Amino acid sequence: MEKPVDSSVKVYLNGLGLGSIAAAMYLIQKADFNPSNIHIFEQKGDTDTVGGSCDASEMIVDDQPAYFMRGSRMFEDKVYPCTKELWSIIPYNDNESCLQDHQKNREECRSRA
Amino acid sequence: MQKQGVNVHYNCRISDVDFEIDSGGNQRWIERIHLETEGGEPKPSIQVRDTDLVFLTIGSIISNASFGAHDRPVDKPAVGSQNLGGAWTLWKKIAARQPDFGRPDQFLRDLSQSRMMTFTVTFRGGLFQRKFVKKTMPECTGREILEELLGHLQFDQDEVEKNEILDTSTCIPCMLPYSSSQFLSRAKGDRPAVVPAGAKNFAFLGQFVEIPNGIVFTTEYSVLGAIHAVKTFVKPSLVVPPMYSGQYHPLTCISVARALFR
Repeated sequence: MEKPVDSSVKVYLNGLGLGSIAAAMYLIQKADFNPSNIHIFEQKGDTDTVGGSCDASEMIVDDQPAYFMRGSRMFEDKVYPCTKELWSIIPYNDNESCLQDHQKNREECRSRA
Repeated sequence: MQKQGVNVHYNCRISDVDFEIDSGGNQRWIERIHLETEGGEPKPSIQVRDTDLVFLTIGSIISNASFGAHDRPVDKPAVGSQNLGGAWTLWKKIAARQPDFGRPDQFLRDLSQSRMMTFTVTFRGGLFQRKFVKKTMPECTGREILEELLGHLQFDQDEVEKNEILDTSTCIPCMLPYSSSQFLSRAKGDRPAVVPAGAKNFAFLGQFVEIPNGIVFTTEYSVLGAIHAVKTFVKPSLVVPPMYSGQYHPLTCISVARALFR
């Protein structure tokens, strides 16, 4: 029997990189941690590109929207069990997780190819 | 996360942390967090109890990133210890004080080996073609990188069509001086454990911690470290997803061998 999380415990994290985001999501979704006790300190202003290597965002280039991502990551099926579990605990919309959305996109790409 | 109540403090970074060590020297904990703005202006520090938790991402593979544009090569990155950013600077400070917190300089020592370029293409119509660009990647504009990519993809289309793709797309190049710094040769002790011995309220996260058999340069590494930290301090029953070890799968070994002799 696990003792319940002390509701006064605060967690402090540096940066909005994947490490911090994953820790926060696991605390909230898998450990019933109170989200308002989580503090993330991000050096950039909220209008800047934030999010470590996985920082994809939209920017305006010559009056047109363009995507931009500093890092990049190729995904495949077997090697990413933790990443996929993380996607599964992040809601994409009211009914689906990010993992379900990813799987849907993948099926769609495969059926076109 | 923010909708649920997570507090994200922008333009604010952890500039330093104070450690407390018990009289026997067996347990360590963080007792204060020092904060500053991105510009280096100090902000009020935070007292931390030994029952609170501090998870610190150490090192970053996108520090000192510099950008170009569709018609311009990347700027020369402003590499220098003053521009390393919060995650490296904090690691350097705490590693200098405690011997088992790793050696960040090991991963900052050779830009020729650690740098990597990325580019992001936004297509707004059209398709691809062949023609190679005789320049190094850092000298190329986004447009030239896209032209090179079209060449490698061996699309055999006419010049007009190719130019249409190049004109209707936006390719933004990016130089990352430390992108593959995890792959520089290293020794035991260059990376600290996720939860160092005797750590009562802190853990290290990111690409520069020691995770046995973990694969750096993947999102797995950052997520796995976070799972270990949460499991250790908050939820012991948390199940860590099993790692995939392709080297033990006969079919994988056969295809690797085939690829080697190709």
